[in-house]
Amino acid sequence: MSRIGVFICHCGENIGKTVDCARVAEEAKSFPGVVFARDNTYTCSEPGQAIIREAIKEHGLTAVVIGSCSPRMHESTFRRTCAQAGLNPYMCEIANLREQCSWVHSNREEATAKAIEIVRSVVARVRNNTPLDPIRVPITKKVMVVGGGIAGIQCALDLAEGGAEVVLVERTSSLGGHMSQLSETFPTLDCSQCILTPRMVDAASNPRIKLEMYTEVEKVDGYIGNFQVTLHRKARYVDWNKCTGCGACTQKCPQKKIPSSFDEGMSMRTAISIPFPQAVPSKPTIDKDYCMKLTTGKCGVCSKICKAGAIDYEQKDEHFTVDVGAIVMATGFQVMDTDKFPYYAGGSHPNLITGLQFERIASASGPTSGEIKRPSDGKPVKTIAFVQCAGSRDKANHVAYCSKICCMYTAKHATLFKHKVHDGNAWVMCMDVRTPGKGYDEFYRRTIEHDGVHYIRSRVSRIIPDGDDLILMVADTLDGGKQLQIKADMVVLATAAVPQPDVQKMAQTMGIAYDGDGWLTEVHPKLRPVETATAGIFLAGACSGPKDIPDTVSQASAVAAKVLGLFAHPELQREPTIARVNRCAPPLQSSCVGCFTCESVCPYKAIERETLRARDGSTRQVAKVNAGLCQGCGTCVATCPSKSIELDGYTDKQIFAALNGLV
Amino acid sequence: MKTLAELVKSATGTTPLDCYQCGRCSAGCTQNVTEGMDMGPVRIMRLIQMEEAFKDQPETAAEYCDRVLTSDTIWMCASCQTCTQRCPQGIDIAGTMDVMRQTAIQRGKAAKSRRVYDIVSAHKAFINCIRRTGKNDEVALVGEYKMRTGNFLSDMNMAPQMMLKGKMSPFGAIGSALSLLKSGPADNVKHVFEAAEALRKEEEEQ
Repeated sequence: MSRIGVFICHCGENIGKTVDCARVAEEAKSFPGVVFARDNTYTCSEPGQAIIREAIKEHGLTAVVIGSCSPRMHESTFRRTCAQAGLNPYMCEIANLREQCSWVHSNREEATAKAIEIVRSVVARVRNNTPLDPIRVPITKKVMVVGGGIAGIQCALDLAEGGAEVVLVERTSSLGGHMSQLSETFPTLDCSQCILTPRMVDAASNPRIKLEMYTEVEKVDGYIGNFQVTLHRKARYVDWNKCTGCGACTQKCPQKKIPSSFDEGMSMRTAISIPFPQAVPSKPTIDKDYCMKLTTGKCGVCSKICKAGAIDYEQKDEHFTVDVGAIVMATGFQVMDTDKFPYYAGGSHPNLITGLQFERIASASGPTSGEIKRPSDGKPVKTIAFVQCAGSRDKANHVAYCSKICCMYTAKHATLFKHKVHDGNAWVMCMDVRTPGKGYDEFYRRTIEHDGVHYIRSRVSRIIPDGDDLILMVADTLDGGKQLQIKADMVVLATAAVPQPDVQKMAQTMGIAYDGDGWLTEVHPKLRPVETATAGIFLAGACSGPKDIPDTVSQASAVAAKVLGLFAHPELQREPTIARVNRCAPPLQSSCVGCFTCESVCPYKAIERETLRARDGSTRQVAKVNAGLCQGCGTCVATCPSKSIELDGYTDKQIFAALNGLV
Repeated sequence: MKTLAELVKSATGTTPLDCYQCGRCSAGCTQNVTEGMDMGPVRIMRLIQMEEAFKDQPETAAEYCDRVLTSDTIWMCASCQTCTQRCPQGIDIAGTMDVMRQTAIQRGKAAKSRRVYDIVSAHKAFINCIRRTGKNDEVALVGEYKMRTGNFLSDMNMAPQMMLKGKMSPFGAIGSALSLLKSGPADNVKHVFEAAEALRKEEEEQ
């Protein structure tokens, strides 16, 4: 026999002004099962919660109904209150008298009548509630970080520092990502390599971090605390255990005309190569598309030169599985290529380069050893023009968003140029200059006021090639739109930052969301910025949108804290309001007919198959819900043709009772 | 020839190149509203910047320079200093206008419009008055101004009121003539003018 307590909250004037709360409480006393009812000004306050706890003890309540705001607001608060008084938290239900009654009505009499009906309905429902216990799931205390850029490195280091085992997966043959390509970093102009390489070495030498280089994620199964990740390690054709990293092979390789992706195509590399001198690990790989031995069978120079005998042309791709408790996506971004801009010198002029290419030109370890020379003829650049918002903020042709980093890196590029070419002229074509960040605006103003860079507020309409030079057609919008033609030796396009082209496919296999532009989406942009909608998968850095280094590093550390917080529990507790396929015993049977319609509709891949054995020895397959994966959406319940699935906490019995309470 | 920005820098110690075009100077400019400048001070700043930016293309630079020096704006400025006081970048905008006026006169670029002619006349009448007597004398000033502009009747209606309030003596002309006879051109002021002239020549030679 239920002993139900009803507590009607005035919510200050929010409910009390429109609903006669005292009358609702008085009426509630007459509902079947109700043994106690009262109203209160602020039920969520500490004294208000104390009243509930005392009433539970004094009247021996077995269930509680709170007539208050939306369950989204305070359901967890009141369930905790009930638990403190020894009542199962799932025996507490909320009657929404604010959002669904007082806020949307003005007639006090009618609103009060409606409130009484809502409470009657919830009381009828709670009479059919059953106590539920949280689901306990074990956790594998190992984490996989996908991506070896600064986000992945920082996250892995912080996780290892916190005691977690880390698997750091990187698809190229070195750690470092885009940050290792940069010459200097804004706003302090410290050398990117100098601050990054020590961290790369730390990550590689940390005993808790296992590097999986030249490896990609193929498949992700499982759920929070218990993921099984299938990795694909591409053949390197070099036994890294034997290789000493001497680099002799990379010098003798006869295939020398391959554009280096690290130098953004501005220098050439060999078929067996180490991407850059500071690479970690400093071990070469053979590019099977270019290697003559692998393509034609004739060559083998590297094998002859290698004293360690590390070259292995027979090496095969490997596929293997790793069990982890959490996954961190740190897959980063790319920049749009110049060929997306046919109106800018056809998009293919040799002296029309991207910001990332300029980084390589300005870098001391780059193709020009840091001298600003243009690609077409190697002439030192005297006049340079930077075009901001190439692709960004252009919803008609490219992307609608602001790429966030370009204003600052363009200011940095212009400053670097003026520092290297004292008598040079630097022009920047910008729409707005957006510099929110510590020391950012000061840096940008210094670019103009101290280094004498000329900013023109204009979007470049066209760039016309003039031999090796380029002429920019602009309008000075700060001078009434006066048309200008600026002739430059080289033009740098601050092309839009875009998602990695294959990250969406990966997101699909993991069941995490991405937006229309292809960026991975967080649960809440402000309050939960590093979590995905799939529990146990986190986002760090530019995979969720363009980010600068400080933001990326902050996110990486934030993710580490989240994962370590997850791992701090001996096991996971999850909400028990999940779907359940019915079973009756003995012998174990179910009304499930095994049609598996539920399997096809489940968005969380939570439906598994179980074999039931009848007394006569015959077997049949029925559905079973994986408690770790189920998010309690109820889609399977609505779909099941044999009504064999129930959602705990929202059973048919409860719902029908609630409906009957209304009529 | 020095660029306008360089002239401003040496005269005021601040530079229009720092301007980020917020427009606060122009939004609060008293003359911009009442006199209808042909462009706000903010645009003058921009043009000075662009002259500097196109330094290596003399023709384009000269075009920007002329647009500043031939503008009405630099003459409409009343030097009230409101803009200088408010400028978030600490640029001496009123000082910049001063430099522009001087340069316009020196290079013979001052605007040919009637109202600019009147203003330049007032400036000349004033400085001549100082040069002659070493002090400002309203009657002498007004006299020369009227002679220069040929606009004898304007502002006449203000004279009776000014006399009633003791701002101007009805016998001012006689007084002025007497004081001229009595003291002659002030020697000290003469030195100042000579020194200024020498300085200008020196600068020109550079």
